[in-house]
Amino acid sequence: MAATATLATATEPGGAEPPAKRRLALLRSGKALTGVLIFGSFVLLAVIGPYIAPDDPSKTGGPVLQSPSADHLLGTTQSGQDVLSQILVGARTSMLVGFVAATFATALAVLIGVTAGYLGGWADEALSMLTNIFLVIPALPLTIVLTGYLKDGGWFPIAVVISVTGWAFGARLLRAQTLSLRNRDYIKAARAVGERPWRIITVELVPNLGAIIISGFLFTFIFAILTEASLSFLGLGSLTTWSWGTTLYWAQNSSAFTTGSWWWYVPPGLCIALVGASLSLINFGADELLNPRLSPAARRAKRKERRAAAAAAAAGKDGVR
Amino acid sequence: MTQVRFLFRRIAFYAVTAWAAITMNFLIPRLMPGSPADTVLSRFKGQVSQAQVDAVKAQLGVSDKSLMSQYWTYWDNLLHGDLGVSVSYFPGRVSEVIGQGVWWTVVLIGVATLVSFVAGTLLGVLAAWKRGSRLDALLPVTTFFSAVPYFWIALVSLSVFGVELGWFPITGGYRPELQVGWSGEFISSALSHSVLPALTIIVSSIAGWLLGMRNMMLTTISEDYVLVAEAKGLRSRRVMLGYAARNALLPNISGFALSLGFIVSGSIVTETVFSYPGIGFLLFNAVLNNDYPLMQGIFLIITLMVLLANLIVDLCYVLLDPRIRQEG
Amino acid sequence: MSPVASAVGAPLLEIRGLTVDYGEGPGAVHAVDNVDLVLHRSETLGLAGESGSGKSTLAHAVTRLLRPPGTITGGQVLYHRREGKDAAGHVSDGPARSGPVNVLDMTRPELRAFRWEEIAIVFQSAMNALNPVHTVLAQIADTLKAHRPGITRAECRERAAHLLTTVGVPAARMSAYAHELSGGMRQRVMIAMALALDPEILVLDEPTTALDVVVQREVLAELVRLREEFGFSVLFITHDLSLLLEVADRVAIMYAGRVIESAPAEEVYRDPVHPYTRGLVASFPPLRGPRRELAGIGGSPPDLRALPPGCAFSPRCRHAFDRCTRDLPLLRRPAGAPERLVACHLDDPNGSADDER
Repeated sequence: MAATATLATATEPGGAEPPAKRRLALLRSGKALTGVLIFGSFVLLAVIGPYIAPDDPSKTGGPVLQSPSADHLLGTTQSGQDVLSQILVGARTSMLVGFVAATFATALAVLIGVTAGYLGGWADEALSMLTNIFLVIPALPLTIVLTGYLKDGGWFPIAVVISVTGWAFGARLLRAQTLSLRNRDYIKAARAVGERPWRIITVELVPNLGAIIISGFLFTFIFAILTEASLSFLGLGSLTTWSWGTTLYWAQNSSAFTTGSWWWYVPPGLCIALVGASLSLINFGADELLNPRLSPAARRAKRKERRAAAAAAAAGKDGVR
Repeated sequence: MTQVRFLFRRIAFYAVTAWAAITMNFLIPRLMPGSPADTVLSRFKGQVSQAQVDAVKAQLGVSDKSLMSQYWTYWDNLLHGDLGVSVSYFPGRVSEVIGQGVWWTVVLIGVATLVSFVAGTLLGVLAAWKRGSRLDALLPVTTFFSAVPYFWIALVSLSVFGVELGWFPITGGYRPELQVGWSGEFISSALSHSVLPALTIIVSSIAGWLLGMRNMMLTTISEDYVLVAEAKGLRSRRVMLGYAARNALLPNISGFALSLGFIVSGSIVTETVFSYPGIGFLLFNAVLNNDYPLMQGIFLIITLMVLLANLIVDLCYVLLDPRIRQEG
Repeated sequence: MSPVASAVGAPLLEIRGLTVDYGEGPGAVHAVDNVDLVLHRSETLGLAGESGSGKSTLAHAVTRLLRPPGTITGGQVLYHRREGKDAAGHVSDGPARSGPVNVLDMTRPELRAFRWEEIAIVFQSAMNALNPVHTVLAQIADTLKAHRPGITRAECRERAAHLLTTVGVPAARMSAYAHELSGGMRQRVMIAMALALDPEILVLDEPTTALDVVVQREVLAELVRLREEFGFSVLFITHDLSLLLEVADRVAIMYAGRVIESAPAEEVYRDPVHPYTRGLVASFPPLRGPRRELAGIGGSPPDLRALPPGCAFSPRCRHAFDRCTRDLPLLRRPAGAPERLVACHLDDPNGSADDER
């Protein structure tokens, strides 16, 4: 089974491989690259959006409910606001919520996941239990209840709440990976020579978790954008700052969906959909990258490889004996 | 008796999770900034008795008693099915308000999830078995739908099927002039009202099952036992279902817990879009009206039902997998 | 003529010019390259080689179990069915009722009927070969039901019990799942399952490699006994030549997708001709007789994607000369050895071999 054997070596990302190489591997997958590109353009939009917006998104008084024209590329709302400006300004809020939530959530995930995986024993039991609890409790109802108490606080508390409800997924992945790294030789060696645990964690472990941390970050980032959009759409977000969800909220409140003012609700929806699609694409890429080791297929491949090695040795391939 | 031990461990886990959720529910109003009790009471100035004011205060953590004794009272009430008084449906009890909405949600999510799971799983089996065929076109399409937020699909289907084409009603759970009951007229009205919300949930969630099943199938197809099944001269359908799919199903089922969380979250938004009389829409209204007791009661009920659903799924898992090994 | 070879009957399975590629176009790799092999009735044919030599691919190709990217690009697999019996063991509307059938030409229903009825396979790892979620009985029963429509549940049970006892597994274990059985037990169950339809040919793909040595011996002894009892032919695939020399009547050695030597087992052991075969024989302790020095084969296994011109073994061969890196050696019958085929330029009367032996 020549092809299987060569495939096995090709798809096995070695654990000790430098993280940079693994990250490149993520981009080598066409799907992941597309996802990152889509996502990257929205990041760009978030940075420059407010500067290139033709108008103040809240400014009323223009022509009302106008379909796209040269003056208003994406038309106007019922109160004469420029939709394009709302989209451009809203991009920043949406992305900002995503970024802040993802940063907090990733920090929590690393802290809890890596600690659990590294310490093992009771600490692991307790932290895993905590992680699983947060995985099972449905996130949005909890987020809604929490934001219910934080009304009118702007986007920042929303970002914090999303990170509190969204860290568990990353923590579970990180714990599993840490657990497998912990038993690698170079970590064992570091423990044997008496390196202090925090040093092993920060110097030896975390760099090798890079790929997972990054994909977890992106995942939470986009998850947060989607959650914020849902909250804002429900009118539970901050209605004083513009985000895509806010635009949709006003669109629905003004019956844009029943009066056919598509230019009002399609663009923000499409932006959210595209960000969501980039999440899925990146996720696929990460899956293809991370799963060969975790999935049963890899274990089989590994076994085949070992079998191959044993067979080759038995057939006397090396002249050492 | 590994099965018994497995189930015991799962039940213990759900019990702890339930306890955590209940405790969180107790702590949230007490730890959050601001004074929810004042917000609530300002609405009823002069309308309620002192006893009721005290009850609301106690529930939202304004009390002279110690935290521990408040916690005991909270548990005591909870065990008696008392979730307090709703603000927006005053003087209705929270438990009564939820009781009216909860069945709408259970039926909607239950049926939609079942349809989505069965259809998605079957499509995933076929997509893996006939990979390279036209079924592959399903993948990007369903992926796109799964990435789009529920409310967007809800809105689009509302404006297309509800407004433009006028095929289905777009708001509510039944024609308001009808009496809730087992009359044929009511049931058919409820069914037609549930089509669009259910469709939204199915379209949004089917990709998860489809892709999960397809990927697991691709793994199991390369297993030796599938090769043996083929070598034994079994019919292709038997190899696909009894060997490849039967084994691929197990990980897909154990991923149910995570998916259910997303589906429940999505259906809250979906209910809101369609003003569907379930607890998702109730939750939305509770937040708008600062009805903190109702909000928390709904959160609690949703969480407990999700846990119950997971337990049922675990029971199915035990029946389907003779090995039952706990993964770490 | 060796005494073993003379006991062997007419050809049962003829592999002619079989070629299997992995991948397509210029990047395609010949995993099996133009292989000719004949399995005779009641014979045990051993197929030895390193992993990557194409022996398992050959077994999968013969039974048409190849998975993409593997494709059969050439050759025939001719099956000579028993007189008065067609491929499925009963009268059917298959092609020519007498004479050999080409397995590679069979339609799907024909193939389904042919499989297991005529050729059954035992894979290396019984843990993976048994469906983890079905009982042993269920897996034996579905085979029986597929080939014997109308068989009752009770008959399935009875047959399963009989098969299991035949291979030394208590009949009560039929309601066990794979994970409840020991390694040796599982492999016995697989063998029992293989015998379910009384096949003409048993393909054993590394059947004992995953077992520990003691169990390996037991299973092997069981197989030899069963062969005598049932009279099926065996295609025994393994990397372990020493094992083959014990159980096989004839041995074929594969290297880089080609058969490079085939001969009666006794002759391969006593007088290996191809330098690679010689290397293999020298790498395990002698089965009997005086101790001799063990030696391995230098160099690394061939990379099928970049085979050298000429003989694939030439980079590792101590006897290689210029012709070896130029011309592909074809199988030929060396003088004075009617039962033997060798693909080597050494001693080739038609070539310009320097006599190094």
